Amino acid sequence: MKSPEMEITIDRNGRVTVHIQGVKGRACLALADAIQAIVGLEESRKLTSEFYDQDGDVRIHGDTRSDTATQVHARSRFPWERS
Amino acid sequence: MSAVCILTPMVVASWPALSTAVLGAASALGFALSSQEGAPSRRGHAETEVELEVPNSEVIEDGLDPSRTLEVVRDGVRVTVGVDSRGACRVWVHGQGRSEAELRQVGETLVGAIVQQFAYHKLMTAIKERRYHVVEQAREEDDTIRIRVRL
Repeated sequence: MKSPEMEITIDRNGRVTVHIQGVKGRACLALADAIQAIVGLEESRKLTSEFYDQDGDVRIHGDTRSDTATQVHARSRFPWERS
Repeated sequence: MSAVCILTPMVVASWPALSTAVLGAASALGFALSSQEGAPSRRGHAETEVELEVPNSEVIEDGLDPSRTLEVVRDGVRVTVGVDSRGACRVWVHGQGRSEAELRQVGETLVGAIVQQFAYHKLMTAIKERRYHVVEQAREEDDTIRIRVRL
């Protein structure tokens, strides 16, 4: 696993993009929250697959349709991930 | 990778902290501090003026003179940075013989640089407080600042 790192870019207008790498689950969430508290307004947050390793928490709901096709919806517990 | 966050800085600070960011940004863009620091902005004769706001800004009251301003100049363009009645940071760009579009571009570039400087200093202060290790930092050709931090 990659060592825990952050890559921060601040563009010429001051917009900040933070890439958190090598940090899983709740620790990643806490770090993202801390950075938001430091910088200001969060425009978007995308949690990548590594987030769901170990400390992550994902619920799966299964629906069976009348034509026997099964739809599985992966539903994150985090509101900002729901479309 | 674990997460990608995109953030817009809120420029909330006391006047001394904000003026540090202003001076840093202005200096990087080739502006020089005018001898009129602290005086209210006055539009000169036949000067064009453009007014801009630093987005998401608030200058925290610290009991100092509310008419505090900072003035920088470059190539005949004079930029005054101050605080409006709502406490937001504003920028007035003055120039003789310059179009509004030209002055607006100068102002927008400076405003962007001020926000960038402010965000940079806030992040670097937090990184040092948390004793994270800055592996690499650089300013790219498009003026983006890139910082790699080991946690």
